[in-house]
Amino acid sequence: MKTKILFLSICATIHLSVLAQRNVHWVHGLGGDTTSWLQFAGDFNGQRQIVTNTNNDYPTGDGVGGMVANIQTQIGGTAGGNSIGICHSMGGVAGRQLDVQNTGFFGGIITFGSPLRGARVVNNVNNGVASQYISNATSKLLQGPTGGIWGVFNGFFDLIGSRNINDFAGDNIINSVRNNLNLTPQTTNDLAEESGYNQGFYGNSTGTPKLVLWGNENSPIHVRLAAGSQNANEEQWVNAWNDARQFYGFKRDVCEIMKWTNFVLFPLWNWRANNWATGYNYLLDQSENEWANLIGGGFTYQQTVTEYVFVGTNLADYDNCIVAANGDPAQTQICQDTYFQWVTFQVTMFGRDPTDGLVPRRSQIAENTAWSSNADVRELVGNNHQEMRRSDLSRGELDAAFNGNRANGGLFIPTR
Amino acid sequence: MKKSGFYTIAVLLGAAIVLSFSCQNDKWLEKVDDKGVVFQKKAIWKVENISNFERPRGGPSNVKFLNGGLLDTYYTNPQALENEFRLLNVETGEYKWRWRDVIRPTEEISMGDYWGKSVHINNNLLLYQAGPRNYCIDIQTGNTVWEKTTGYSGVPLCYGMGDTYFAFGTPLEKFDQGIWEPHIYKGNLKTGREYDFLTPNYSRKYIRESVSKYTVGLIMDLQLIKDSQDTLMVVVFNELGPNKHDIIGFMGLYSLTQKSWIYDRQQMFTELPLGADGSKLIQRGEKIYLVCDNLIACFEWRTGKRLWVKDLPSFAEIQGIFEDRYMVLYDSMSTLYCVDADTGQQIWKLPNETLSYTSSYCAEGILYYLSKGNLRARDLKTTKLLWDIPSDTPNKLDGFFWVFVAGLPSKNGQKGRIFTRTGYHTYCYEAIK
Repeated sequence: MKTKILFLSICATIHLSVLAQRNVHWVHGLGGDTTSWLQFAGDFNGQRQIVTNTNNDYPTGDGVGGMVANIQTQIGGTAGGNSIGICHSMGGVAGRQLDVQNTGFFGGIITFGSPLRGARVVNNVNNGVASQYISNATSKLLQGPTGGIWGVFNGFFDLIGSRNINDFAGDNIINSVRNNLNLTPQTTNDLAEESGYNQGFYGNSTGTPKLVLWGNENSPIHVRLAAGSQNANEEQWVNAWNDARQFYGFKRDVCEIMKWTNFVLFPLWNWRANNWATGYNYLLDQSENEWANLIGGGFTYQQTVTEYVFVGTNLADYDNCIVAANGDPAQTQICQDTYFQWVTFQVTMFGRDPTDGLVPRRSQIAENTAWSSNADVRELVGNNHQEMRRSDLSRGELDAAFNGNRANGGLFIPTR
Repeated sequence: MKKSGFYTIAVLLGAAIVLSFSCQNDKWLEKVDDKGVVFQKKAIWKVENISNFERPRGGPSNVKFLNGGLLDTYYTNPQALENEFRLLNVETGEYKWRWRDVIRPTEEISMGDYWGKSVHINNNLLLYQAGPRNYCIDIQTGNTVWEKTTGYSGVPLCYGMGDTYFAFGTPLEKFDQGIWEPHIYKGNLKTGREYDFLTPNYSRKYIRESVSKYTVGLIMDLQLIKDSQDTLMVVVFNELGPNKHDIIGFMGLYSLTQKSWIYDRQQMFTELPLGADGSKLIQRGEKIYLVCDNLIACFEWRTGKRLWVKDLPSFAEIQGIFEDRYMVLYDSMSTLYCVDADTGQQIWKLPNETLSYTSSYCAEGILYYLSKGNLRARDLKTTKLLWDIPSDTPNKLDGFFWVFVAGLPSKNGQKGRIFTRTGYHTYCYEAIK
C-alpha cells in the first residue's frame, strides 16, 4: 500500500511539474534529419524548463503537406498552446501551414531562413537554369588554365592549393539542392517562388507569437554558402576564392605584359590574356551576381547618370581648336562648349537584395503577408542558410526569446 | 670636439631615431579612408575568450566595470557551454580573478540582458542572478560569499539599491501546478536572505494556457527610483486578454517607504490589446520609457500617465538616452533613429543600419555601436560616421563584432577606452576622445 501511495505521489508530482514546463519541437528543413538541430536541441534542453524536446526526422520529399502530416503524427500528442515550434527552412513553411490550418498546434513559432514566399533556386534547379549556371561557370573558369600551350589542365585548381573547380562553380550547392535534399516534383512545386501553395497562405493571419529570423550573408554569398553546405571552414573557402581570383589576375597581367613585349606572338598572348580575364571577372563579381539572380536575390535598375563627355567626332579637332584659340579664354571656352557637353543618360545597374545565400530576405520574412504581420522579425548578420542552425548569434536570439525578450514574452521558457 | 659633445650628439640622434620610430608606429595605429572614416585600428589589447576556436561563443550583452576591471566571460569548454567569469584588467586585458563556483555543473554563466540587469553591485559585493539560482561574489577576490537555489522559478534579472535587492519569479509550489504567476522577492545582498515581498495586482480574469498551462501574468521589468522623500518601485506586467493571444500591459508604482501601492494596475494602452515586451524600463527624471512591439512609449512614472508614443515600422529597441535628451532607437527593419526624449520628435534617421541586439555606448558626443559586424562610431548630433572597423576575424563563424560594446570615459587627459567582443576575442581600443 505504502509503495502504491509513493508511486501515485511521484506520478502526481511529475504530472504537476509537466504542467509548468513547455514543449519544444525542433523541425528541420529540406533534406534535414535529427542532426540538423542536434546542437541547439541539446544545449537548450539542459538549460531551460523543457519537458518534451523533440528533434525528429521528417520526410521532405512528399511536399510540404506530407511533411506537415508527419509532424502531426510524430508530435501531435505533445503539441498545443504550451509548445514552441523552432523551424529551419522548409520546416518553417510546414510550421506556417500547421499554424494556419491547425491553430494552436504551436503556442509559439520561430522560423530560421524559411522560404515563406518560396525559393527561386528551386524553380531554377527544376527548369535547368541552375545547370546552365554551373556549365557557364566551369567554362569561364577553365578558359584561362586550358588556354595555354600546356593544354587541358584538369588538376589546375588543386595545384594552386585551391578548391576543386566544381566547388567554385557551385556544383555542390546545386547538387545538394537537387539530389541530396530529395527535391521531388511535389516538394519542388510547393517550394517554388510564389508558388500556388505559398500564395494560399499569404492572406492568413494568426495571433500566435512569432519570431522570424532571417540570415543576411556577407559577400561572396555563394562561396560562404558552399562552404556551409559542405560543413567546411568558411574562412578557408573565402581565402581560397580570393587567392584564385588574385592568381587569375596575375596570369592576366603577365599575358598583358607579354603581348606588348613580344609583338610576333601578340595575338596569342592577347587571346590568353582575355581568357584569364574572363575567369578573373567571373571570380570578381559576375559569379556572385549570377548566383544572386539564380536565387532571386538580384535585380537590375536604371540609374540616371550625368557626365561631361566629348561630343565631337575627332579629338584632334578639339586639339586644333585649342591651338587656334592661342590662350584666349573666350575662344577656349567656345572650344570646350563645342566639343564637350554635360550629357544625361540611363545606365542599367545590378543590385543585390540581402539573402542568406539561398533565400532572399523578402521570402525569409514573408514580406507583405498577413501571417508575418505580427512577427518579431530579426536579422542574423553574417549568417548563411546553413550557419544559422549552429551560430552562437542564433543561439543568442533563442536565449533572448526564451528569456521573454521577443514577441511580447510569448516564447518565454524559464531556466532550469 | 670634446668627448661629451659626441655623447650629446649620440644621445640626441638616438632619441630622434626612437621618436621617429614611435611616430611612424603611431601612424599605423589606424587607417583612414578618403572620407575620413577609420576602417582599421590597432587594439590596445586583445585577449581570447574561448579555449577552443572550433566552437565560438558569445558573451555578456552588457559588461560591468568593477574594481578596475571589466566583467567578461571565458569559455573553458565551449562545446559543453562551460564558462567562467573573468574580471579583466582594463589596462592590460589580463584577468585579476576568475569564478565558476556554480551550483549545477552544466550551468552556463550568462548576462544576456543588454541593460545590465543580470547583476547588482554594491560596495565589494556582486549579485549574479541566474534564474532560480543566486550568487554573491566578492569583487576584490573573486570568492563566493554565498550562493543559493531559490524557491521560485525566475528569469535572470535582478534590481538593487544598496544592500537590498529584488528579483521576480513564480513560487515553485505554483510553478509545479502549471501556474505562471511571478511574485517579487526582496533579499539582502550581504546574507542572501530573501522573502516573498510583493505580488502585482493581477486581475485573474483571463487565465489560460500560454507560457504555462495556467498563465496568470508575466512581470516584464522593475525599476527602482529614489527621490527626496521616498523609495519607489515601478512594476510593469502583462496579462492575457479576452481573445486568444491578446496581451495587455499594466504599470504599477509601489512605495517601498510607505509599503503601499500608489497605483497598482494602470493599463498602458487602452486603445488596443498591447503588452510591454522584454526591453527594459529606462528612467530619466520624471519620465520612464519602455517598448511595446513597434511602439516606444514615454510615461510619467508618478501617475502612470502616457506622455507620448512613437510608432516604428517594426519591432523597436531603445539603445539609450544620451547627452540628456538624445534617445537612440532601432527598429528590426534595420533603421536607426534619434528622437527627442522629451517629446518623441525625430531628430535624425539612418536607414540600412543593422544593429546587433546588444549594448551601445556614448561618450563626449560620440555614439559607439555594433552594426553589420563592425564597430562603428558616429557623431551623435550630426551622424557623421567616424569609425567603421571590422574585426580581424570577419570570415569566421561568429567572428565579427556582435557581442557587446562598452566604454570608459577619458580621464587625466588620457582618451577613453572602448571594449568590444567577437565569438573569439575581447578587444580594447582607444576612444576618439
